[in-house]
Amino acid sequence: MNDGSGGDDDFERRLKAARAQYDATHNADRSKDGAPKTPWQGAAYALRIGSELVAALMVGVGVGWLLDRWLGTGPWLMVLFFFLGGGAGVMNVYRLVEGKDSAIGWRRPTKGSGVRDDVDEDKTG
Amino acid sequence: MATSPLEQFTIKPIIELPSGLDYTNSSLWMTIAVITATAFLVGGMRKREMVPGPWQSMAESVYEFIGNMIRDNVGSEGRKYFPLVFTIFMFVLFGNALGMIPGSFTYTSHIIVTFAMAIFVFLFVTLVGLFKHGLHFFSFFVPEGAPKFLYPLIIPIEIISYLSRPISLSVRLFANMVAGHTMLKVFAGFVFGLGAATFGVGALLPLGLNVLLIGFEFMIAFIQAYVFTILTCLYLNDALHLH
Repeated sequence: MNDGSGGDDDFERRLKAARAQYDATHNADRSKDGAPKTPWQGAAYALRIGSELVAALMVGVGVGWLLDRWLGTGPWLMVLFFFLGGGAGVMNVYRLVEGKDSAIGWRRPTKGSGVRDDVDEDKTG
Repeated sequence: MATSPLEQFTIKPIIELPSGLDYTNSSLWMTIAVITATAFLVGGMRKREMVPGPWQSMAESVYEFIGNMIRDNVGSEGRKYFPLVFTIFMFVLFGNALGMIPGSFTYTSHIIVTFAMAIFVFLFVTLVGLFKHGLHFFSFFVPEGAPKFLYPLIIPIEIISYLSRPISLSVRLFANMVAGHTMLKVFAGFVFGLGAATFGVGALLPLGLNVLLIGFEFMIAFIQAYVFTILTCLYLNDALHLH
């Protein structure tokens, strides 16, 4: 009993600390540029999502088409880059919704935040 | 029958110059935008009153709007880029807003204009990142914590994602302007078409819709300038703070 409850307390305490840390990093990111604060920002936020998705696809197809024309490899690189572009588009939208839209490939400066970093912190902490 | 709804976007040379460097209606409205924006700010700040009048407080609130945007999104390091960000905001905002004057020309409705601005922002931000971080800059196309065997898949995706920035930035502004202005013109065409067919009664609905759409367009004009500027700030923040 004592061991169990002591362990629970310890677990509760660590869970609370981890949650606070997650909130501090994650929500700090969100309030920074992700989740809208005013209706204006909400509209701006909504208008961005579609174009982020489509733009990456356009770039993917464009890069593939240019590479095909350069290397003479038929339609294959365009097909490949079509899917890579689609993936990039989904990733853009995912990042936008997560509130770290601009962080393409790199982390936020503040507190080394980000989902993956949170996992790391859990391991070390 | 009324003219095509797309006719409002045609570029017409005003002063013809050799080698295609014509001074067009697009250039004219860009000039007007620069002059009105300058007059708005210089005129507003002319008296430098301690308690600002209406004009001065408008000029100050635009300044503070962009100042706060940079402070929130880039931090104190972004302060030296204020002139660039502020200029981009004013140019896009005045382009969108002046386009709402009937009979005027909306230069932000041309992809080449928005793309030129977007590619400038993109190259500038990339160069800032390169100068600040050197070749270390490229290490950030490699995502943190991803398994190594996924690198051949993830790195091209990251690069495409990065290259999509100027496209999304320019297409969004251009598409919103074209779509909005075309819609206004289409409904304006309905006003005459339906009005003539039904002795004026049928004109009420498209006319009412157009009133709503004009209000909506003013909102879009501001929001798109805001989005363009805030994305410039966010990209700048990335370039300055990658580590």
